[in-house]
Amino acid sequence: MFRTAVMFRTAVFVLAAVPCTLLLVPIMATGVLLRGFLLLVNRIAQKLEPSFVPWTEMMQFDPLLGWRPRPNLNTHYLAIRDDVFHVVTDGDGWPGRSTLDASRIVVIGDSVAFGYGVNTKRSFAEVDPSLGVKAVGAPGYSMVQGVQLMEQLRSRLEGKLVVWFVFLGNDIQDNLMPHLQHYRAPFVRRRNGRWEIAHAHISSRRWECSQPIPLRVRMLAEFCVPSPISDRAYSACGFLIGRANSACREAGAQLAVVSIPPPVLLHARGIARLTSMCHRPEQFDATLPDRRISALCQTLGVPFVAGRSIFKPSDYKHREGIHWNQRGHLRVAALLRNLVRNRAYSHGGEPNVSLVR
Amino acid sequence: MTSLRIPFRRAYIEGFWITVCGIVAVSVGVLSAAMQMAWWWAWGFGTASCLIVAGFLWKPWFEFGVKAWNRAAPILTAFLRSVVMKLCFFLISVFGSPPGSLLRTGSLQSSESMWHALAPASYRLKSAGTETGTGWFSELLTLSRRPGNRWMFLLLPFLVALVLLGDDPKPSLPPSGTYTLY
Repeated sequence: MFRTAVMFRTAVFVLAAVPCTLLLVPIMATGVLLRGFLLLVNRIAQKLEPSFVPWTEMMQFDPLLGWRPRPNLNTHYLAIRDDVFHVVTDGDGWPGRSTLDASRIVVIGDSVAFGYGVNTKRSFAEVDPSLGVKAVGAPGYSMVQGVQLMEQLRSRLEGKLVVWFVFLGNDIQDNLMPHLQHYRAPFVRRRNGRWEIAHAHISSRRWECSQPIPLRVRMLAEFCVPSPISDRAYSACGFLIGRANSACREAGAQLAVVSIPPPVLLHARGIARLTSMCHRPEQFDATLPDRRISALCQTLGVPFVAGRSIFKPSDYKHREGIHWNQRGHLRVAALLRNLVRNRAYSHGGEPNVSLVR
Repeated sequence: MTSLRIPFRRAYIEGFWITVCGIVAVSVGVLSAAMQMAWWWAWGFGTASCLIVAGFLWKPWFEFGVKAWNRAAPILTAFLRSVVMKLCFFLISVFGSPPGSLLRTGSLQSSESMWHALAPASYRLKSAGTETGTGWFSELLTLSRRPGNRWMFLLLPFLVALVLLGDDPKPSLPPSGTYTLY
């Protein structure tokens, strides 16, 4: 009796499975069509796209700077949340084939100086060869590495205009950090009431002492509010600008500082978001980083250009949202051209950048 | 097989439009030929050309196509996956559970437990492939060959459908604001 019941139920199960499985046919057909379409797209894309190397393969350990681009690169890399780009580096690892000695302008900085997110030949340093621009920088560099570079290259900077790109998005904070993600980085610390650059911890070993910092806890919003934290950060900036200025003066070069705002500082929505992130929203001032750095430069007699007055949100990559697009690079080239034209401006004055607005 | 999303990279956008134009040209051409229209090939070629011209007239058009695909494909596959799961659940729970049930139908003593102890071999999966997400097919075959598990063969089409539809994992990228990739 029991056996018959089980057999009956099994038969019902099998009978029910048939229509259920038949209902699957159109679904599976849709799945096959979608997969087929995607396969075609991927095959064509793989034919069209140049092969690229992982970013980590393009960098090498540097006992002073922490890392630097490999020399004589001529390859493609995949930019994060972006596309594949061509990169070329010289014998020292700096972007472009032109040499430092042949240049009139040396641009020092991080990924914005490196020309990250465009092909090297379309970056600001290469779009107008008559300008004689040499970019010296690598993604992730803070102002500390900028100073170290100026000191390291001192003997080769004579008679040149040294333009220092300070990316407000993270440089002010990273100056004080002993690491970037899992890489050890030189940083500034205060000892006996004096700032100093610390690099004794630099090695090729992975940094494990603290976790990487996601942007949501980056402190740009706090640096737009007067506070002991921002005072400390700007004090470190002052020390670094002073040291960079000394290096350039000793080399017979002229230093100019250009602040590079992240797009979030350029539109009302971004400013509203930053305002909501800081601890004293009523005191939030998007111009504070520029004003503080400008004041520091004024004291030291270093020309300063506030990027907020030059760049527009449309100069940045829409999707990636951090680096310049082609339009932004052209604007930077125009800015550099203008800086060279106005090279006679007095130290500490605001260069005339009206042409690039 | 996982996500059906197309990356926003030049090569992939070009690949998308080449594929779309090819499919549209062939479909319209075949349809025109079936309707015995003169210049049927011109209809196919012309329609595909219109798609390209639109992109030159309005720049965001090319990105818009990929954006539309990336929005529509996950919604469609999520819906289809839910249908597959519902069918599967219906089949197993409503019709599959009574014959496969180990519940005793007779009366129980008050002290007797309704729990039925299973030998670990009857349910434990042993291959590493199960844990890593690979080798599920051979695992299923192994399981379904065991006595009382033959019904599992019927799950095969459902699993194939789920594999085809893929899943839509969150992209394993750093947060959108992360500054550097180094």
